[in-house]
Amino acid sequence: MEAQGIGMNDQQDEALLRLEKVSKYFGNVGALEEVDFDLRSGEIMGLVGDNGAGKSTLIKIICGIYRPTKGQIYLEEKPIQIESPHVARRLGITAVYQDLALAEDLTIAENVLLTREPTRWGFLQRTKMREMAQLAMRRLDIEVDSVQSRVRDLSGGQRQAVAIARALHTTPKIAVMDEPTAALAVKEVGLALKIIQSLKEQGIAVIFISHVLEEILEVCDRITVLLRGRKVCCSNRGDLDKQKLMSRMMGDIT
Amino acid sequence: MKKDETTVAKLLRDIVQHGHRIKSRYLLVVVLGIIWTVLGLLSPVFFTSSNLFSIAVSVTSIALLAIGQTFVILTAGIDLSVGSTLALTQVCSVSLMLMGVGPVQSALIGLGIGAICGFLNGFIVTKGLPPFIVTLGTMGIFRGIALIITGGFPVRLPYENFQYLARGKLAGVFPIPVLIVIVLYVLASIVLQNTRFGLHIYAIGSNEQGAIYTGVRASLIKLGVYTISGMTAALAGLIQAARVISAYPSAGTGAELDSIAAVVIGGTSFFGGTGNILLTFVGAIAMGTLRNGSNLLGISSFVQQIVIGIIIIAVIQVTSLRRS
Repeated sequence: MEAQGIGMNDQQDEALLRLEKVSKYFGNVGALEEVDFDLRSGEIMGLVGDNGAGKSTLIKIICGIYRPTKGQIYLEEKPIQIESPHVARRLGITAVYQDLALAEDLTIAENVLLTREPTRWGFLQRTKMREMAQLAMRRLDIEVDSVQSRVRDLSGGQRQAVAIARALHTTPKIAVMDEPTAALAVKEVGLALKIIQSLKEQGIAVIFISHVLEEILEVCDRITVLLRGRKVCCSNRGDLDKQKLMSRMMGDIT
Repeated sequence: MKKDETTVAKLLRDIVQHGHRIKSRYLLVVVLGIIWTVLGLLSPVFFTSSNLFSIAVSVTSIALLAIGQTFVILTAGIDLSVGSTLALTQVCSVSLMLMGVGPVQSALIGLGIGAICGFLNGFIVTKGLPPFIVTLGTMGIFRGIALIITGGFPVRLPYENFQYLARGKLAGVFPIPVLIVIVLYVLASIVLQNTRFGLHIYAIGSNEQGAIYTGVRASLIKLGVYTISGMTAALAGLIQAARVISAYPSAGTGAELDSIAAVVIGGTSFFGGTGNILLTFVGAIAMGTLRNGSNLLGISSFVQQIVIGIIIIAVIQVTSLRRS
């Protein structure tokens, strides 16, 4: 199994984030079974698998939404507990969720800065919030009429942009991108992929989930394949093509 | 009177000239303006300061309950226990006074009991139970405790001076309870619009799961809003007891629904996430005005209930239309 050979070399490099034999059960149902996973600084790790393979469960554990039933998580080789999304954010782990997790009634600025609001004497600094949100959106090359617009009134692509801006404006260590291109028009997909690559240049590690294997093969450095809650392999992009990736997702490792 | 009519005329002219620019959320203010105008024209006593203050005083309880209720409903929750909390706190405070505890201490303990009632609601809600069911349960529990404490009878307030809380007037003109209500609304508005706590309340009401995923500590925020609701209910209870110089274990029966009505008429979405607490105040005033006006015009209280009911449904219809 070539994948395992690569895996052994990988472990000699220091992992930014490492999951060791992580399992997650919902009652008696095993969603993840002893999954090892590692992520290095400044790499883009693709995470693929069929529906129900455990991708969502894995990233929800990394983001503090689920607690693992068994196993240990290490950040910069220190054992950690990610007890809540709040803790995850403090540790420098942010995420763009598939359903975006935006508050539709709030403005763009409020969404982008939610839980990171600038305050003085306990009061929100609204002007500073607007400026920071504008900067965050501009850095991603995204045009909106006003950061005072409510998210309710935005298009799918603009909402996606807000979710990405929120995840990235604090320069996290790790950015989890769950299907960030799913709701986008073709030309917006290119922009989203460019954003993901620019994160890598800033030294941010990215976990990128997509059903579109071409996107995965285009931007990822390594690719982890899950199947029915287990890790099938973790390979360098160069060792894979679409055909091989497909067959691994289906459980054919030869 | 003459002067009042010209003010009204000016208001009408403003509405006619700028009506198209008035945002739908200020519709209520406009509607209230129209109601006031009509009442002012129909009843000569409506615009007298004593009548206006009497409207304001009559809505004190609802207005106070509606502060906490707005916080709760903004998180897409509901607090059905405020009427019972109101009764429990006034019964406890007055009973303490009868046991020889000082009036100020008793009042503060009453506020504390209100806070505990609210905290308890919030605590159970954060365990994942639906707020409607939780507060329906505590509504019965708090009422039951209030009835047990006094054996079902009212208890008389032993300190005459305590009446000042309800009947006192600042500078001899401005009723103290109205002042308290206004100050608290201003404070509540500042908290909701200008603090992280306020913003997170709106975020939870808009998309609770999303807010949690983003790192909002929803449990803490919910504990906070229900505790606030308990405390405003307690304050309403104290002021009410001061007004009638007694504590009734049956006080505030049905007040939870009035407070919800004020919040909803004020345009706060029943589904959470949007709303302006100052408009809750307008909503409470609108309810008080309808009742007062109906009384002045000799319309029966039975009809008032129908009118308020229709307004609630109409407002919900408008807000849900705006959402979709």
